[in-house]
This record gives sequence, structure tokens and C-alpha cells, in this order.
Amino acid sequence: MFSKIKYLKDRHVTSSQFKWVGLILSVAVGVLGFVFLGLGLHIRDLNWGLDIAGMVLVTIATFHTFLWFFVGRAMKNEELLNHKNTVLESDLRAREKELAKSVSQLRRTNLDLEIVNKELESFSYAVAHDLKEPLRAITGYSNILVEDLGDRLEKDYGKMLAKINKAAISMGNLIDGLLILSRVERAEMSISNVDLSSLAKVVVDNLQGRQLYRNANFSIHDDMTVKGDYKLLTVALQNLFENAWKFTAERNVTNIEFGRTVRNNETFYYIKDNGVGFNSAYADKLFGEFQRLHPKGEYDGTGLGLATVKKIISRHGGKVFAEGKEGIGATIYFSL
Amino acid sequence: MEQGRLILLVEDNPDDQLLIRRALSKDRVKSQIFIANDGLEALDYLFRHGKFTDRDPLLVPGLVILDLNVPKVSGLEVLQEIRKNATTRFLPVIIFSSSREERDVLDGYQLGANSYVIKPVDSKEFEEAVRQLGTYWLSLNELVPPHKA
Repeated sequence: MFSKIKYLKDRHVTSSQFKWVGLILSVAVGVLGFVFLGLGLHIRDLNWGLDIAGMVLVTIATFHTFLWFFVGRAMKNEELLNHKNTVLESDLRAREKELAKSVSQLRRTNLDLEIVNKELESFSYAVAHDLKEPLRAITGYSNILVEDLGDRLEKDYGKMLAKINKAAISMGNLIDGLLILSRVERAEMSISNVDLSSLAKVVVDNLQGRQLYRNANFSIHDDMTVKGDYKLLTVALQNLFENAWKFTAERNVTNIEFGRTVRNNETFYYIKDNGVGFNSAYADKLFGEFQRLHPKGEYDGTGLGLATVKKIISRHGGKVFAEGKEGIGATIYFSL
Repeated sequence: MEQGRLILLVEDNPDDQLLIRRALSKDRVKSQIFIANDGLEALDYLFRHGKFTDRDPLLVPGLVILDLNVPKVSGLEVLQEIRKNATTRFLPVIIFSSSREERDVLDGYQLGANSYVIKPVDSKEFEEAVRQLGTYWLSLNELVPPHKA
């Protein structure tokens, strides 16, 4: 039966065509059968043969009707199925098209982003190169004036030249700080196990190397391994330790502790110092860009260090906050 | 002039040229500087092309101080050419650049720079850096004799 359907289908006969042809055929054969039977009753000599022929034809007609009925129904089902399939297929195709469109849109956005990123990169590259060149000229020439004129400089002109020099240097530091911050913002992260304890020891060695005369105790807890981006976490620790180091400069003994603690069921890492501390009312201001809690003359700095730390921690999905007391010290906590 | 007392400075910024020249003049090791204002001039000078065809072939620089961001031929390309050529492949090349970009440092070393020094903004540090470079590379460091190079 199915091969027949297939045959019919291949011939592109629809179920309705089949229905009518089959019905006419069945009726014709049936009528012919009854005609034969009738003739068999009327014509005595031939009745035997005609009766049989009539019965055969009626049987064929009946059988054909059944066949017609079932095949027609199967065909109809098949057609319905085909129709449903076609609808589904076109639906699927439409969705595929939509998906392809979204994918190409995404690709375009990605490409745009890549271009923007590249532009940013070449922009900061230009900043690194070209913005610092004139600064070197300022410091260079003011220094030449101080060196060559020396005592011949009247009044406070020498001091003023030194101030020009210092201003240019701090602008150079600002440029470096901004470059680091922008790099931190767009750097691709690669997550691995990072041993904060040994990283901190390297950072501390560097700090102490710069000011060997200072009397300092560093206490770094062991085995503080986290999952994170090694480069970014290095920058964060550098900034945190530099911060602690800077604000403990006037202490006879500097104490800096780097450890781990749990607060509200969350693991926090902290850097605690015995430096000048800060008024806790300003705790939130510490992490803002260009925010400083001390006048510029007192402590060097760009006001970007802790902003950079916050950016790095939030890129890791962590939190950062500070606690402190004026004259006692500060502790900066972060989670990852 | 002794071999190695000549420095080829590849630098397009006249202020930096002056500051470097001044810093080197303070060094007790006296050196002579040739300044190339772009990468092409540096290569022409080294390989005696163009206007340097008649340059004394015995006057070989003992040190190249190279800025990365120079016109015409970039600093990195200059470095590449220096390393490719048999007569200059051992010539000490110091990259002296404002760029702290990791990519630049990596590219510099990959192409065979002997050292990478970032130009400090602080003029005192700048002077000290140049002076130390001069002292180390011109008097402490031993060069490959020219006939072996």
C-alpha cells in the first residue's frame, strides 16, 4: 500500500484526484458487475458464466472500494504530514535566517568593539609616547637652567624652576597611572591559580628595596591562593602595598599585615597598616578616581591607585572596602 | 678614535637629542655621537648608503641608542636590519623609549635588543639613565672585534 502511495506521490497524484478516480472506477466496476448479474438472470443460456463474472466484478468493486478508502486516507494523512512538515520547515528556515542575522549582527558588533579597542590601544600608545615627550622637555630644560645658572638665579627663581620640574614629573606619573587604569579596564582576563602570598612577598621586596633605611615589619599569611588574573592581581597588590607603604612613611616602625579573614560568611583578604589612617566618614571616597584624602603637598600620588584596585577587584566580581581611624591606621579589605 | 666610542643615536625629537647629548657629555668616558633623525638615515649611515656612501668604513658605532617611534623606518625595523646584516649583528642596541607597553618590550627583545630602557620623565633620572648606559656599554662591555663579526 505504501509503495503504491509512493508511486502515486511520485506521479504527483493528489489524494483528491485519487479519491475521484478511485470512486468512479469502483462505481463503474460495481455497476458492470450488477449489469452482468442482471443479464445472467434474464438470459438463461448464459446465466452461469455471467453470474460468476458479475460476482467477480462486484467483489473487485468492493475490494477496490476498501482499497480506495484506505489508500485515500493514508494519502491524506501523508499529505497532512507533508504539509505540517513544510510549515515546520519554513518556520525553521525563518528561525535559521533570524539566527544567522543575529550571529552576523553579533559579529559586526564584535568587530566594532575590536576596532574601538584597537583605537583605544593606539590612543593610549600615543598618549604614552607623545604626551610624555613635552614633559621631558620641561623637566630637562628647567633642570639645565638650575644647573647652569645656579647661584646666579635671583630671588626664588631656583625654587620655581624646581616646582616646574616637580609639576611635570607628577603629570608624568598621572599619565602612567591613567594608562594603567585604562589597561586594567580593557585587559583580557585569563583566570588561573594565583598565590597571593608569594606575589605579595615579591611586591614587598621591591618596595623595601627602594627605601632600605626604613624600619618595617611585614607579616604575610601563607598559602593564600586564589583564582584570578595574575597580571591584574599583581597590579592590585602593588597599589595596595604602595598605599600602605606611603602612609606609614612617618612611623618609626612600619607594620603592614596581609592576611585572610571571614566576614558575613565571605572570605576577605586585607592589608592593614599602622599609618596615618583616615576619617571613616570618607571611606567610600577612597576608591574614587582622582580622590585624595590628603593635601597634595603632604603625600605624593595620583589619586588613581585605589581606583585601579577597585576596578581590578570588581572585574573579578569581588568587593572592596576600607576601615580606618585617623592617626591609627587603615585596613583595606577585598574579596574575589 | 677608538672602536666603540661612537654612539649612533636614532632619535627624532630635538629636545631628547639635546638632553641625551648633554647627559653623555658629562660622562667621564668621552664619546662621539652621530644623530640619525629617522630610521632610514640610521640604516643609510650604518650600511653606507645614500649620502653616507663615502663614510669612513672604519668609523663603526659601538652602540646604538634607538627610539622606537621614529619616522620613515620604525625603530623595530632598524633593529631587524641590524640583526640581519653580518657586519652589525653583534652591535649592541639599546631601545630607549617612552613606551611602557608590554608589547613593545617583548617585540624589542624578540628582535634582539640588548636592553630596553624607558625614558624617565624626571630629568635627573633621565640624565642618570643615559650616563649609566654610556658607562656600561662603552667602557665595561666588551665588544666582538670587528674582524670576527
